[in-house]
Amino acid sequence: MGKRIRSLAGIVAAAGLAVGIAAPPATATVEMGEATHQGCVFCHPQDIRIAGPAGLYYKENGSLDGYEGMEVPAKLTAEDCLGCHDESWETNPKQRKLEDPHADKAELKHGDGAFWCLRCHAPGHRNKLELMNGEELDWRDSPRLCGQCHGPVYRDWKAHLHGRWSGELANATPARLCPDCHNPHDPKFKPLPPEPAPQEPVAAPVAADLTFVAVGGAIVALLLTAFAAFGRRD
Amino acid sequence: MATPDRTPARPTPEPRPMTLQPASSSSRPVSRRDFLRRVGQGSAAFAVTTMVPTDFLQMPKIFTQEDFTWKHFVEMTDAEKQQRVQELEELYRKRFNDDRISIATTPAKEGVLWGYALNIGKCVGCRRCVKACVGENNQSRDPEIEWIRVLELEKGTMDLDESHHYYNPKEVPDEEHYYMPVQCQQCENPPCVKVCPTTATWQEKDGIVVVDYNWCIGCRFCLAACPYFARRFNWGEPTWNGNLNPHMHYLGNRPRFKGVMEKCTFCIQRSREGHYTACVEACPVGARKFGNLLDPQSEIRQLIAAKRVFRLKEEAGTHPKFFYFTD
Ligand code: HEC
Ligand code: HEC
Ligand code: HEC
Ligand code: HEC
Ligand code: HEC
Repeated sequence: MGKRIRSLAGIVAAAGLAVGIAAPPATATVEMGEATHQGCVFCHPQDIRIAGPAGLYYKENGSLDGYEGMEVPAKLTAEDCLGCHDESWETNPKQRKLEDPHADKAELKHGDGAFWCLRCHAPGHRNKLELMNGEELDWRDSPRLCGQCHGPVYRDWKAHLHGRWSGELANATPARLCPDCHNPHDPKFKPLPPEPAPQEPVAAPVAADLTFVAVGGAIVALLLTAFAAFGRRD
Repeated sequence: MATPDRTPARPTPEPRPMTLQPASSSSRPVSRRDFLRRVGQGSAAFAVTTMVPTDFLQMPKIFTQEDFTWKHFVEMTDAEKQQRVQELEELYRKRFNDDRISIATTPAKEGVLWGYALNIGKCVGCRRCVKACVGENNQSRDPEIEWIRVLELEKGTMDLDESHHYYNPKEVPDEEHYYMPVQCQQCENPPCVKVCPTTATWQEKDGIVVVDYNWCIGCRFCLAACPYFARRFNWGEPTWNGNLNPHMHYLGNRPRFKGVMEKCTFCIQRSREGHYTACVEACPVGARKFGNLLDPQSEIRQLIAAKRVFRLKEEAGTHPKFFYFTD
């Protein structure tokens, strides 16, 4: 699907440029790269309504107006990033309140303001993470990224003491990576609804016990009678 | 209700370790088992002929006459175990209408002593472990039996008598509480084993305390002896809602019946195959850790070395192999 849209968007963009329609400036105050200042309409035609597979984004007239009051987008994947953040899109390293499709990440609730998105996301390749030494990581290697600042926890994690490991004891694999338990943008573990409580004990089943006694007694009586009759005949 | 399993409808396998004729090739005298077998058959015949329609004589459907006559599990030879298990598999497959049912008798591995640790700093009291355990280990759904009990304690206290386990808020953890799941602590010095009058419960080489459900007479001494309230009794006929885990172990999650005791076995059917227990796999916060106490590289050993660890009711002298810790 991604490919289809990419080519579609490419065609649209190409067509838009070919016909020479200068896209009206985006009405929202998006800083999409200080140099280019491109708005969404640079690539997406004005009157197109776009809803992602999860109804992610909604775009009506090339502005970001439609986003207000929209549901918080479901999680994006690494493949999604390059659709917008391609080479033509300049990075804005300024720490700011984002007004953009990553609505739930408008503010970073991690690190007490000490760092910004690009401490973790590679500025050039949004589908990658970046270590402090400039090395780029795939998302699935995120524990190393976190380990830069959370050394002791990272060490515990490697020793299987933090997080959940599963499968065979001798050959355990992580059942979860750090971001699966801690949203990297708001890492405190979130409360969750508990499973139902155990049933409160009910009174002992007296009735059953009584049948036991009654029936048992009846049988014993029967047997006794039988034995008695047997004995008399002898 | 009929008593299908006591009638000869079930085909009896040819070779039997014990025959009805004690005077056969083996020169063994009439053993207690043979005696019981005959008495059992006699009374079965009595019950069938008289057709006494009582609950009392009605054996649970998965409880067969052979159950009276089989040896104690630890006394069985491998061949006998094999045969016993085959019989049971056949019986269960028919009874539960599930051909996948298999019953392992995997023995303890040399050089393995299982230990468990639980991070009470992380546990959020969500009871995912409880439900995973019920599903894995075939606890009765109704009447409800749960091997794990999650205690809710007020922060700043350690008094188990003041704990609650029926808590049910919308979300956990709750600000004022912390949580302490309690299950069988697999004591090295288990009081439950000591008090059992029929040796129906014992400690295996890998440290797991198990129950042979067919030798349990339901006296519940062990229930009273356990300082951790870790044993559960089948007061009623267990039911499973058709959700039976077919992957069974003879000493673990095979279906129990009314009147016997059961308890956590560290998922013997999983751990002896080298897998994590169901509760470890279910814990969303990763608070549960499991491993071999004799392996210095294991998680459990590293954890005991690195973390603040304690055991519950240590003063009871039970030497649990279940540790609690915080980061
Ligand atoms: C540089 C060109 C470009 C710009 C500027 C751009 N887009 Fe896109 N957009 C794309 C491409 C290419 C894709 C296809 C991505 C893929 O492969 O899934 C895409 C996909 C999307 C999708 C996903 C469609 C779906 O079905 O999942 C949405 C929504 C979207 N863009 C909204 C916007 C919004 C809102 C803006 C303004 C903030 C914007 N785009 C700016 C090129 C661009
Ligand atoms: C629909 C288009 C779109 C997609 C898809 C998208 N972004 Fe963005 N992103 C933007 C826009 C627009 C901004 C600028 C927002 C602003 O300035 O308020 C931005 C800004 C950012 C920033 C802040 C730094 C900067 O360059 O301005 C980061 C980090 C970022 N995006 C990461 C990602 C990652 C990671 C993904 C993939 C999971 C992704 N984005 C997918 C549109 C998109
Ligand atoms: C502490 C490092 C870190 C910081 C800071 C950070 N991210 Fe991320 N972000 C990650 C990691 C790791 C992932 C990959 C998550 C995964 O593997 O599922 C991710 C995923 C994402 C995604 C896609 C997943 C989703 O939740 O939709 C977006 C979009 C995104 N980041 C945007 C941002 C923006 C915008 C900022 C700045 C406001 C930011 N990130 C700051 C580490 C970080
Ligand atoms: C650049 C350094 C840095 C990186 C990289 C980083 N963190 Fe953090 N993290 C911090 C700081 C600083 C704090 C403390 C913030 C505070 O106290 O408000 C923190 C706090 C946390 C907390 C505790 C939150 C709480 O409120 O209890 C968790 C959990 C966490 N980080 C997880 C992660 C994960 C997961 C990653 C990788 C995706 C990661 N961190 C990457 C610096 C970082
Ligand atoms: C199975 C879920 C899970 C995984 C996976 C996980 N954590 Fe945690 N982590 C928790 C829980 C639960 C807490 C305790 C609650 C809290 O403080 O939010 C915690 C606490 C933390 C804390 C703060 C408390 C402390 O001990 O310092 C940090 C930092 C942290 N984790 C980082 C990480 C990093 C880094 C990774 C990956 C290497 C990771 N976590 C993987 C569940 C997880």
